[in-house]
Amino acid sequence: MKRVLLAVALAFATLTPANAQAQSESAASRHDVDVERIVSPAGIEAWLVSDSTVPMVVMRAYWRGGSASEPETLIGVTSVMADMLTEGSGDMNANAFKERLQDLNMSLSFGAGWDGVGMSLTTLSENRDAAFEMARVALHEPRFDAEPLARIKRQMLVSLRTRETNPSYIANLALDQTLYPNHPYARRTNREGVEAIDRAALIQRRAALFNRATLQITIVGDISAADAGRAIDTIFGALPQGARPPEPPDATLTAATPLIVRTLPQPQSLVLFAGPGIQDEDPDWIPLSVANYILGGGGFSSRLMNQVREQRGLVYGIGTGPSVREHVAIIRGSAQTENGDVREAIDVTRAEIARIYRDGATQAEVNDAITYLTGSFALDLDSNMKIANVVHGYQAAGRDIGYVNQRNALIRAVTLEDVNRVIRRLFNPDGFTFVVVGLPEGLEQAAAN
Amino acid sequence: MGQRLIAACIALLALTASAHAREFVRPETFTLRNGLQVVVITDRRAPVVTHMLWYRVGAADEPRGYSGIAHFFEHLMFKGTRQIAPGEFSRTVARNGGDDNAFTNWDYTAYYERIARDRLELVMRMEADRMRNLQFSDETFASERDVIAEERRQRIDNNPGAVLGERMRAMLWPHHPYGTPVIGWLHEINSLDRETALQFYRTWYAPNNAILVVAGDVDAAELRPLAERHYGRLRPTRDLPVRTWTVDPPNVGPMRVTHRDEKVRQPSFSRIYRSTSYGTDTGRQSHALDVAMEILGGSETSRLYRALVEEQRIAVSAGASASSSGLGGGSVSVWATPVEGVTLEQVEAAADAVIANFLRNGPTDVELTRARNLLTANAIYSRDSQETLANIYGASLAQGESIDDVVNWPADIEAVTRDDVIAIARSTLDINASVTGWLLPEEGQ
Repeated sequence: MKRVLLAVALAFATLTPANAQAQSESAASRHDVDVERIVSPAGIEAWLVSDSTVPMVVMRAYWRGGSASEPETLIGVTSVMADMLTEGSGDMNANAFKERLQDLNMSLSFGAGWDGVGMSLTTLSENRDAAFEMARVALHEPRFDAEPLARIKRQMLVSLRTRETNPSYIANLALDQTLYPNHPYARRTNREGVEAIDRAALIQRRAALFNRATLQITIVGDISAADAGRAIDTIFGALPQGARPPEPPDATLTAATPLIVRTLPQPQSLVLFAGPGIQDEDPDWIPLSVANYILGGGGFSSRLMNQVREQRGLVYGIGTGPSVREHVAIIRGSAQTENGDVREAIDVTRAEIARIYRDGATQAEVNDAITYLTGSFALDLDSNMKIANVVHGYQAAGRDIGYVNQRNALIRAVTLEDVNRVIRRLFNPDGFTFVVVGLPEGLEQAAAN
Repeated sequence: MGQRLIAACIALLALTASAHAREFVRPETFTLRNGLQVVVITDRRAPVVTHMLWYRVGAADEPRGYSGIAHFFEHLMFKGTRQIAPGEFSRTVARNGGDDNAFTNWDYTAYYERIARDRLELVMRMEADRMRNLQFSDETFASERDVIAEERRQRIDNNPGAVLGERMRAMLWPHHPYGTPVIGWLHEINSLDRETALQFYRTWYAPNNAILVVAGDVDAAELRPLAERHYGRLRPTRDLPVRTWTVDPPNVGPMRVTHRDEKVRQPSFSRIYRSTSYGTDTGRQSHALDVAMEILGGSETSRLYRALVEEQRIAVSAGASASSSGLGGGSVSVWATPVEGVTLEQVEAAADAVIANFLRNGPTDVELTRARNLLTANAIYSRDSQETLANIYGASLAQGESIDDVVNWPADIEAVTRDDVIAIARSTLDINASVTGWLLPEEGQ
């Protein structure tokens, strides 16, 4: 027995130094990614991370112009056009095209967001050239056949119905329509728009978006700069120079609405909350990432998680984070709680926002946030897929090519003063709109106020 | 609770193999004197590690009437020891730039940390500590019970499809513990007590009932002394119970269930069948089953999708999949969602016709080659992720497979014949061993 106790004591004698090192930087916080700027023979620029450890290649491309810039009468056309690029091209109909993708063990997809269209390609090295050829025909020779178009429209019509009781859809729509009611970001697809989408509309949308003017490419994996350059010309070489498509204006946020309730028969309510944010080129962007980690971004370590989940058991999870679109920026949070506890969960959340707004963060919290944010970054860079996501995300956001290796130094330089400045700027509790979807109890009075 | 983890992605690791080989390089492995099995998968690309401790205990091992205790206990493992204050475990990992979490299945409970390689020893020390020295108060227990009730509402009760799925499983496994939801029934969650939780912990949490998987910037020579120092000192449990689960009576016929909810806007059809699993079969039946379900419903080129969605245009989605990773058996599922104006009777009949044709005529050679090729490609892609590799090895070992089984998986898939596919499809897709579920709006809605 004594021996066991002694063993335990010895084991934990070493715990102190480990904790003492907690505030020090891990080796991983200095991990760099070798991103190289390449220019193809035809003059198209791309970012390349060449690493042959795993015999695969990941490619991402992005063009400006998304669903926020499509015509009012054709809402959803960008997304349908993007989907239709992999529904038949060249001499392959939809099924032949998908079978060919499978036989090559590759994945190829196009998707539309609010502000742009992205392409994602993943291939094994052994099928690399055939995979690039598939991307080329998808981009340049889409058939836009009637049958797959009709199928996608049938699927969209069903989704228009299922979204009616989807709490996340309802809450986000309420938030968008409250914060910037007249902006395209507050629009959604509808039956008339879906029915109006035809082949001519797809052709027109494709021509409007795919050009060299806004094209951004990231390639990661088992490929040399010379081979990557050839691949780029194969896929993108025939694109016209074109110009950046027209975009919607910047959104102007309305004053906060303290509480919006949308009734939905379910035992647990979804709570979303949002207030004004900042764009990622704002000088306070990096301090905001630290401030947000402290308030609600840090998993189990955040103030909200501690107060709402750990101390009171009101939720399974609660979190906040900056949310940036090209023409609007907000701070956004979410939680889910039993209908009977919604009021308390909102009160505690508001109180925590008010407390950090009033008293600021502490130096210890800032230190912890910095060691987490800098140390954990390498966890997002430990595979080709993750490197492609992070590096291409920075590229599409307009960052410099070296940003991925400068980001940790910028975070290390954040001071308590910086964090408290951004808290005063952005965490005013009166600036937050709360949306509840469910059958919340005891909120009538609050809603009336 | 990812049930499809393995079926979808068994794979692996050939860091020294030829670039084109669809094979697994064997991870390094050793066993400590106290019985802890250790698996090391080296990937030096980034200076980080994934440290996972898998216990061979899960929801299927719960005493009857205490559903949810395995998952509940997973939450309690973050509530501190004599040395670590409540919540301090995750805070310490975060303060060192790491992420941590845990998950529970019927067959296993797993805890993991992802962190810089120079912090590996810190998490090993804390993980070893909480294997034997957990401490938590009654207040902590009660508060966490509320958190888990919220988790259940979020995952299940708010979602009519999940509620139906839970009912279907309970019918498919009427006596076997796989019929009980991992998260537990709400009334039993609400009556769980601290002493039962501790009893569960003392019974099952032991080095000789665990598998340590470390992937990333480390090799066995580097890891071994750390494993000896932190886990090697833990005493094994001498009287570890044998995992014996109740078995279901023979099936007597098709079962059906209809679930209505006013939130349902689009009806849907689904069916689950009992099947073999990698943990129970003795040959390549589960490999053949994975191939069969890929052909029947694994993608948009599959039999079900092509027939119901593309050719007949009566469904917006249709598919099938195998959940074949279980230690104590598996299941396959088939589903379809009709287009506007088409009934569930129609899509169900159409799905049955596709299944009947598949059972009668089997796959074509082209389909067979394509499906095998697709599955084995995962062996290369999974090498891109140390997390994926750690999950595959950990889950496979916890679910009754060996390192060899994983290493040989692509070759075994390649060896699946047309006759194998027909035989397993015919024995599995038996309506008398199935539960059919219809999800519908409230009547009159």
